[in-house]
Amino acid sequence: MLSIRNNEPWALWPTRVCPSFFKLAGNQILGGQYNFKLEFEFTLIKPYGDKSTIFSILPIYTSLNYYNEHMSNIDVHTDNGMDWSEIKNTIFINTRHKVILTNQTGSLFEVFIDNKKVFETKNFSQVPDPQLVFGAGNFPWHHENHHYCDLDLHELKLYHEDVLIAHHDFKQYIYEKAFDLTGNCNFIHKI
Amino acid sequence: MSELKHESVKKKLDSIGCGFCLAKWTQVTIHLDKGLTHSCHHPSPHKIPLQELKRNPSALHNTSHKKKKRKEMMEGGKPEECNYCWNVEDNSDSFSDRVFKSAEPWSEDQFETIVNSHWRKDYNPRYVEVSFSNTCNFKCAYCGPQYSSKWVEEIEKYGAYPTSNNFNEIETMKAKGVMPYKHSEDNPYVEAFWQWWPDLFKDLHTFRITGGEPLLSKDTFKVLEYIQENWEQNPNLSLAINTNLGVPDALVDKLLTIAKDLTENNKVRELIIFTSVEATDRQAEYIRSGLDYNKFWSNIEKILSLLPKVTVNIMAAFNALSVFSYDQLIDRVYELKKKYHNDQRYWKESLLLDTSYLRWPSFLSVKILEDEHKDLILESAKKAMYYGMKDTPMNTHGFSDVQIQKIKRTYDYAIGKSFNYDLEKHRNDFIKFVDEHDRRRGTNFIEVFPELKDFYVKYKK
Repeated sequence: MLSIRNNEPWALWPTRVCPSFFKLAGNQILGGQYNFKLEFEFTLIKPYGDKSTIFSILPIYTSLNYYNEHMSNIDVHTDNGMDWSEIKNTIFINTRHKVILTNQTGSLFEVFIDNKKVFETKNFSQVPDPQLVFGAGNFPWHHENHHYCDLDLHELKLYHEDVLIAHHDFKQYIYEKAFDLTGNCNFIHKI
Repeated sequence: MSELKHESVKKKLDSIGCGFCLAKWTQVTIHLDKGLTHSCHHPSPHKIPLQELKRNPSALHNTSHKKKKRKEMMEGGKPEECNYCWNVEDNSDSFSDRVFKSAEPWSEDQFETIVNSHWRKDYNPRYVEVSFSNTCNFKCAYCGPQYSSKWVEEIEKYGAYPTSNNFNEIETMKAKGVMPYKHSEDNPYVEAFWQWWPDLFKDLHTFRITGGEPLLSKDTFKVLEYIQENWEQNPNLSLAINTNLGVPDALVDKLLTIAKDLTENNKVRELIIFTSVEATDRQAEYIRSGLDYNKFWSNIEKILSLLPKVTVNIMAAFNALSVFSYDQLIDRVYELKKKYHNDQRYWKESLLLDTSYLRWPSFLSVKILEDEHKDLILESAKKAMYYGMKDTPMNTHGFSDVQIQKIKRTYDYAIGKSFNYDLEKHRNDFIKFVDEHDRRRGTNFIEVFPELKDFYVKYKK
C-alpha cells in the first residue's frame, strides 16, 4: 500500500531517459490518442479544505474530486472543452474504492467507480506527455489547485492495447519510487 | 550545449576549411613515459622527435608532424590521421568530435587567435592530459604494458597471453621504440615537460594527470606543489587526477592534504578525482588485479568526507566480467551519492558512475556473453533509472540521465549486430585468457565467477 499524505503527492511520470528504454512510457498513453485502460484501488483517509483531489491527469486537468460524503465529481477535458459529472453518494472516507478509466481512441472514454459508470464522452483530449498525479490537482511548485488529501493507494494496473504495461502493488520501493512489477520502469514516485 | 551552438561552430570551422579543427591546437594528450603525443585522442599518438625537444620543449605538443597537419587543415585539407571524424561526417548528419571539441569552452574562444596565427607558430594548448609514467601497482585485465609497469613485469616473465592475437605482447612496442621509460631511468620527455611547464601552466584551462598510477609518480606531486605555490598565475585551472585508490595510505593522504589546500583556498577552479571500478568484491579484484576492494571504498569515503567540494568520478569499463555485480555497484554508488550529497560540489554530485563499454580486448567485451547474461545489463540500467534524478525541481542526488543512458548503451552494444566481430574466436580467446590468468596469478576463475561456470565449460570444449 502507498500512503500519500497531505502536501506530498505522487506521480506516474517516468524520467526523460525512459524513451530510450521503452518506446512508450506509461504516462504517455493517458491521452485521447491511445487505447488504454487504467484501474486502481484507493482509500480516502482524510480530506483537507472544501475539495480533495484523488487523482488528476495533467496538464489537461482530468480529475476525480471529493467534496463531502454525499458529493464528488469527475472533471474530464475533451476536444470540446471541459466536461464534468456530479457523483453523488459514491465515495466515502475510509472505504476502499476501485476506479477504472478506459479510452477507445476517437470513440469512447468512460469512467467507472466500483463498477458503476459515472462518466462517458467520445472525445477525450489528446495530449503529449501527460502526467498522472495522485493526492493533488496540481504540482506543488505551481501555486494553485492543490487540493491535497491523505490517501492510500492499494493497487494500480495500466494497459495499452490490452497489454499490461504497469502494475503496482506498492510493496517494493526504490528511492521513493514504487516498483513497477512489469519491469517496464513505469514507476510512481513522490514529487 | 545546443544543436544551434554546434551548428554555428561548424560554420565557423568550415569557413576556414572543411577539415579545420581547433583541437589540433587546443588539446593534447602527452605520454611522457613513451615520448608520444596526439591531438585529440582519435589520431594515433606519434613519436616526439628528441631533436625537436632539444631546441623547443613545447614540441611535446608542437611537433613538426602536428604542424604539418595544422597547415593541411588551414588550407582546406582533411588530414588522414583524423579519419574518425571524416567517417562520422561523411556517413551521417551528426556532428563529429571536430565540432564538439572545437565548441568546448577551452577551445572556442581561441578561434580568432588560431586562424590569425601562422601554422608554424607554437601554441600553448588549453586542455592538457599528461602521463608521467606507466608505473602502476595494478595489472587490470583489460590494460597492458603501455600503461602498467606490473604488466611489463608479467609479460617479460611469462610472455604474451596465448590468445589468437598474442594479447599484450611487447615485441612490437620494443621494435617501434615506444616501450615506456622505467621509473628509475632519466626521461628526456619529462625533462622537457618541466622546462615547458612554467610557460604552459599560465595558459591552461584544464590539466589532467593520468598514468600508470599517478600517485606513484613523484612528478605528480611536483606538479601539485607547483600549483599550490603558483596558483595566482592561473587561479581558474580545472584540475583532474586519475588514481586507482590502491596505493599506500601515505600517498592518498598526501594527495588529500594538497587537495584540501587547493580547494579550500580556491587555488583551482575545480578539482575532480577520477578512479575506476566496474564490479564488486572479489569479481572487481579479479578484473582489477591489485585492487583491495574495501580499501578502495574507504578511500572514496575519505575523499568525499574531507573534501566537500570535490567530485569523484568512477570510470567503469563495463566488460564481460562486470555483468553479475554491476547492480550491486549501482547500489553502493547510490548509497554514497546520498550520504555525501551537498550543494558545494564542483560537479554538483559527490560521486559519478560513468559507464563505458569495453571494446578492447575484444575477448573481454560483453559481446562474448550469452543472451541471459546480457539481460542483466538491462536490469542494471533499470535499477539506475529507479535511482535516477527526478524530473522535478527538487534537489536530488540520484543518477543523471547521462549516467543511466550510458549503462543502457552498454546493453545496446551487447545485443547489437557486429558483422566484423568473430564471436567464436573471441570466446575461445576468453577461455585461453582466464586459464592463463589463473595459471600465472594463482586465481580461480570459476570460484570467483560461478555464474560463468556453464559458459566456461561449454566454450572450453
